[in-house]
Amino acid sequence: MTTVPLDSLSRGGGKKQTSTSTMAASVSKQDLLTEAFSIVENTPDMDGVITTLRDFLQVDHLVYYSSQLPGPSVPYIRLTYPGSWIKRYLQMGYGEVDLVIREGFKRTLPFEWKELEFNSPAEAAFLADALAHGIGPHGYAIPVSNKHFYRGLFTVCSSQSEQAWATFLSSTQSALIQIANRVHSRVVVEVFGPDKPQLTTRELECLRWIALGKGATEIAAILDISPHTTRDYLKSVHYKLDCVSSAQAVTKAIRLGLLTL
Amino acid sequence: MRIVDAVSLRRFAQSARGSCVMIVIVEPHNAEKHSNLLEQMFRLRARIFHDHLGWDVEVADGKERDKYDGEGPVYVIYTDRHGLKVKGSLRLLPTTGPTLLADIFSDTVPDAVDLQAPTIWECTRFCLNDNVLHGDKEEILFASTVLLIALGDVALKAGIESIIGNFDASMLHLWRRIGCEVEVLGCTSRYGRPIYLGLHPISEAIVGRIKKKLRGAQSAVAEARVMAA
Repeated sequence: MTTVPLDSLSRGGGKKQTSTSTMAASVSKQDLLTEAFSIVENTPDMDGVITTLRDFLQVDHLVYYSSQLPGPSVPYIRLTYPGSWIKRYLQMGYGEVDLVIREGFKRTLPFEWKELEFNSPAEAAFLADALAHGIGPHGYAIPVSNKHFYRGLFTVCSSQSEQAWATFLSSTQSALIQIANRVHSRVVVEVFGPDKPQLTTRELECLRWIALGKGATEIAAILDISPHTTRDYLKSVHYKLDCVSSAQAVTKAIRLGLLTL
Repeated sequence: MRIVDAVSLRRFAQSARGSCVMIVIVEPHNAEKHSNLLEQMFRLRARIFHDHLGWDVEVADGKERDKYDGEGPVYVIYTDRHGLKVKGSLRLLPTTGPTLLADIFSDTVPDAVDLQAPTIWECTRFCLNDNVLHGDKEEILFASTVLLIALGDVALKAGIESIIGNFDASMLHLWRRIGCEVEVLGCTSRYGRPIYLGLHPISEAIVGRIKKKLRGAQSAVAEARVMAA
């Protein structure tokens, strides 16, 4: 598995990553998100999405699981785990003791693997075996959902030092949450087909002002609402249109016939 | 000090007022462990929302539950120091999934609100125990503030930046008094009396400001007790 350095993916030039610097230190949050969203949108297949994202985020592994689809079907799982671990996992019947998955689908807030409580020695043994195969010890899991009751779990893991992990998490948490949701949206489209986004009158109004060159603060003054509320309407537009910026959202809304200027 | 769990909230409250409060955060994974608290909470919700406020909610066997309780919400429950009696509670759901407010408030005026984003969550069924509600105003303020701080800290830890919620006129007054920057987005009269839809920004600064008010509120409570003694 080759690691693709951040600077070769995102832009020409830029600092080469040293082993001690975190990615977030030399890339702005918006650039990080733009690149990550581009990976999700443009990589042809989901295996590629997961692998490329893993390399980009500089974590050891990345897994996306989704809840059971209605009717008889296999769960949708895409992961970067090595074949040796997958084989071991199946041989040992670890599906029964994998507390990350079990809890992940019973939790709604994101959580660190260290927050998990063992119910049995078998669970502790599972995590120890996982560690021996390069999985963990640090992990962060983000439950994701959608309006049609379809749930997923996005998780990253790392063997960095405690300190490096803590720094990574605090600087990357909000981006990870956005990325997790973007991945889930792509899977939803893959499984269920595309849905026409529904923007409210207010959301379209904010987007129209963006298209006319106004910023959030100006729009807030025009509409007599707070800048925070304006930004939330725009965040809702971004989420519904799977976009990472308002500029992207304008283009997409016009293309979809939701916005005419 | 960031409150991330029941233990650190207890320490905070001890330093603030010399006694204990406890916050329990319940999601499906630990619901069974806290089934007694959940039972109390559903009964409290029936008394407050059905009996006291007259909202159009379903009560069965003395408990108020709706379909959103089946969507794996996060319950933030304020209890006495022993973690046995519920003093207040609220329910949180991500706006990316099925939400009460998007489903029920689609006719809010001046226009429909259907905010969806990973950093925006909805808070519904915010209530205090009737014992607290029958106490003096400062007790109500204190309890509301404690529950709001717990909500703020859960939000900060989870990367939530906005909370959308529903409330009547007297709750709106209470939020503002506590120091929330709530913006009213709309109103519905579908259920009789006007119910507002509001958006609360969450930030370290805002939660910090409310924590300072808690110290103010609890000293007012202490003062009231001294005067009553």
